[in-house]
Amino acid sequence: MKQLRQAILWAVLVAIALLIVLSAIGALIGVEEARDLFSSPPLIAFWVLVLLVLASGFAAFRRLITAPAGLAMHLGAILIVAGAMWGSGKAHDLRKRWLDDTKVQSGTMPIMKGQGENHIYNEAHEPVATLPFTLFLRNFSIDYYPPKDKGWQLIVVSPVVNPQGEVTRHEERLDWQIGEEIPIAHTTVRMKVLQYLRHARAAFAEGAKPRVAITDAAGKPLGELEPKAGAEVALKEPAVTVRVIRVFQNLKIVGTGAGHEVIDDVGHGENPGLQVRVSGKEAVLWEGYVLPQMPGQVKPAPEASPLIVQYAVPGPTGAAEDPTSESPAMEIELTHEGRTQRQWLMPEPGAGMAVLPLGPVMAGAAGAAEAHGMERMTAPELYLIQPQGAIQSYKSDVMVLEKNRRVDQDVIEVNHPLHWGGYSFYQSSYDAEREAYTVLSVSSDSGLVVVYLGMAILSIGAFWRFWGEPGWAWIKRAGHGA
Amino acid sequence: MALKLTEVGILIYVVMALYVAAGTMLAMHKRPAGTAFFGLGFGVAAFAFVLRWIEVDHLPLQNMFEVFLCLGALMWPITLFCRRFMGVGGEAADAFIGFLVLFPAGFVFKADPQQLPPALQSPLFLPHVASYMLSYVIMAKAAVPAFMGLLADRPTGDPAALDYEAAANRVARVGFPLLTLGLVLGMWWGKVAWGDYWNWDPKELWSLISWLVYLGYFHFRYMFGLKFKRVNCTLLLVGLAAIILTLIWVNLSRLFASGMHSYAS
Repeated sequence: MKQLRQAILWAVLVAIALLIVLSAIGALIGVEEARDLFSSPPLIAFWVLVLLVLASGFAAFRRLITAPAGLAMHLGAILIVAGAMWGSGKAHDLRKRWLDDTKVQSGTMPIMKGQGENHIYNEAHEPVATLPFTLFLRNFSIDYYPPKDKGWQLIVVSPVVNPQGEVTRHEERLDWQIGEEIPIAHTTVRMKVLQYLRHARAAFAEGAKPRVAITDAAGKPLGELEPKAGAEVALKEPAVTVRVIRVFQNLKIVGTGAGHEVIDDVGHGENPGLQVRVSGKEAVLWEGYVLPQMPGQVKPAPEASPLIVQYAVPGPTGAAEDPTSESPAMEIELTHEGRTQRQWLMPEPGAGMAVLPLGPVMAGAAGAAEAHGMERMTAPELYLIQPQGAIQSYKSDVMVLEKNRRVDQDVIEVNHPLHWGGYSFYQSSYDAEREAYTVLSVSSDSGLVVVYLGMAILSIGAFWRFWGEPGWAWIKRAGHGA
Repeated sequence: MALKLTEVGILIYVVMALYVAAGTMLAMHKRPAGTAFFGLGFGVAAFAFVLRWIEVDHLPLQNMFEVFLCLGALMWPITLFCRRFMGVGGEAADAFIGFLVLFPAGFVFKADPQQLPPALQSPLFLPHVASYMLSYVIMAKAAVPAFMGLLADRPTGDPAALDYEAAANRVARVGFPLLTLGLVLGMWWGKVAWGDYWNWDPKELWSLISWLVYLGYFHFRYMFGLKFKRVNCTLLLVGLAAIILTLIWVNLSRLFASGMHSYAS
C-alpha cells in the first residue's frame, strides 16, 4: 500500500510538471494552436490519466475521503476536468458521429435587424447546426459614454497619397472664428464661418414648409394639413376627415408578417413619413403610412374616384435658432479660385454629424455635376461633427421564438449572454457601418453545470483546508487556554 | 506614468515614503522606530482610503487605482496577522512590499472614474482582480522567508520567529485559497463574457502555471515533508516567478501571440 501511495504521488508530481511545461508551450504558440494542442490525441490520453490518478487517490488515501476539505478539493478537480472534457469540441464531434447528437460546440449567428435566424454558422459561414428555436433580432444599438468634450468640431478629411502610392484619409481639425478666413488643410479652398447657431433647426423658404396635400386623382387640390400629430382637416366634397396620427423622422418597418412593427429610428438616417387616418361619417376608411415618394390612395366610396394624400418635404434653405434643438448649424463661405459660394452645414436632428463634399466646390460651377460623381471617396470632405464618447455597450434586443410563439426575450450585451436550449448566445460583433445586423457567438453549455459545481467545491475545499481548519484549531486552542 | 497631486495622491506618496523608512529601520533592527513608521504609514493609508470613499461616495473598490490603494493599506494588518496568529515575522520585507503595491496606485493607474469598455463591465471584475492581487501580495510575503530558507535555517536574533521553511509554508497556505478563487472567478467571468471558461489565452495559461506550481509545492511537501527543505523553499520562489511572469505577460505576449487579456493594459 505504501508503495502504491508513493507511486500515485509520483504520478501526481509528474502530471503537474507536465501540465506546467505544456501550458508554457501553449502560452508561447498562440490561442488556436494551444487549443489544438490540448485537445490532440496524446493530450486526451493525458487528461484521462489525470482523472485516473485523481480517482486512484481516493482509493489509496483514506484521508481524501474522511477529511471533507481534501475530498472537496480533489472531487472539484475531477468534476472540472471531466465536465470540461464532456463540453469540449472533440466530445461534441464524437457525440455527433456516434449518437446523432446535432449539437455543436461553438459557432456564430449573424442576424439582420427585424429578422429571425435559427442556424449556427462556422468560420467559413456554412450552417453547421439548426436550432429548434429562432432568435429574432428586434433591434441592435450602441450606447456611448457622454463625450468628454461636448463641443462640435469642424474637421476636414482629405485623401493623401503616400510615397507608396496608397491613398490614406487624413483628418485635420480646423480652428475657426466667426468672420475669419482660413485655409482648409490639404485643399486650395479657403473658408469663412459666417454664423454658427449652437441650437438650430432647419429653416424653409416661405411656403416651402413640409406639408400634407390632399388632391383628387387629377391633382386638383382639395385641402392641406400641417404635418403634426393630431392635425386634422375636414373636407366637404367628399365628406371625409384626414388626420395625422404620427410623424416620423426616420420611418422603419421592423419584422415581417404579424410580428412587424413600424418604428421611428431617430438618429440613424432620414426617412420622413406620416401615419394618416382618413375617416368617413361613420367609419374609418383608411389608415396607413404616407412617404414623400409613396402617397396614400383612398376611395371614399366604392365607385368614387380616389383621394390622394401626399407628403411634400422640401429641402431646407437655411437654419434658425431653436433652443429646444440639440443640433447646431453653421453657415460658411467657401472661396476657390476667385469663386465664392455659401453653404449650410446642418446635421439631421439626432444625428452626430453633417458632411459637405468639397469636390464640387473645387471643380468649379462648370464641372460641379461631374465632380459630384467623381470618386467621392477620394475628394476632401468637410465635417461638422460631435465627438462621441467611448462605447459603453452593444445591445442586441432579441426574442426567442418557438413555433412562431415568443417564449423568451432579452437584451444581449457583452457580459450579459442569453442562455437558451443548451446554448449561450454572446454579443460578438456587429455591422459597423449601418448597425443593420448583429453577430452573436454561440457556445454549447454541455458539461457546464459539472464544471461550475467543480469550481465551487474546489474553492470551498481550499478555503476550508487552509483557512477553516487552522482557524478552527486556533479557536479551540484559545478556548482551552481561557 | 503621472504624478497625482490630489489629496489622496499626495497621501499615497507620504505612505510610500513612510513604508520605505519603516522597511529600512526594520532591516537595521531598529524595531520600535520601524514599527512606528509602519503603523503610521498604515494610518495615513487608511485615512487616504476613507478620504477616497467620501470623495467618490461609494465603497472605493471599483477600479484598479482603488484596489491597489486598499491593498497598500492592508499590508500592515496582514503583517500583524501573520505575527500574531502564525508566528511569522518578515516585517521589513512587508514594508517594502507595501511600497511596491502602492507604486501602481501612485503612478500608473488613473484615479478618475474610468469609462470601462464593455468587456470589463462585470460584477466579477473586481472580486477576480482583488483576490488575485491579495494572493499575489501574500505569495510575495511567503517568498521572503523561502529565499532566506535557502541561506539559513532560522532567523537570528528573533527567538519568537519560526524557522524560515515553516514560516514560508504557513504564509503560502493563506495565499493559496485566494489564488484558487482568483482563477475560478476568472473562469466564471470568461464564460459570462467570452463564451468559454477556458480560452487558452496566454495570460490564462500563465495563471494556471502559477497555481500548478503551488499545487505541486503542496503535494511535494506532503510527499517528502521536511526532507528537502531547500526544494520546498525553491518551489515557492518558482511560484513567485510564475506570478511575476503572469503579471507582465500582457506586455511580453505582444512578442509572441496576442491574447484576450491584452486589452487590459
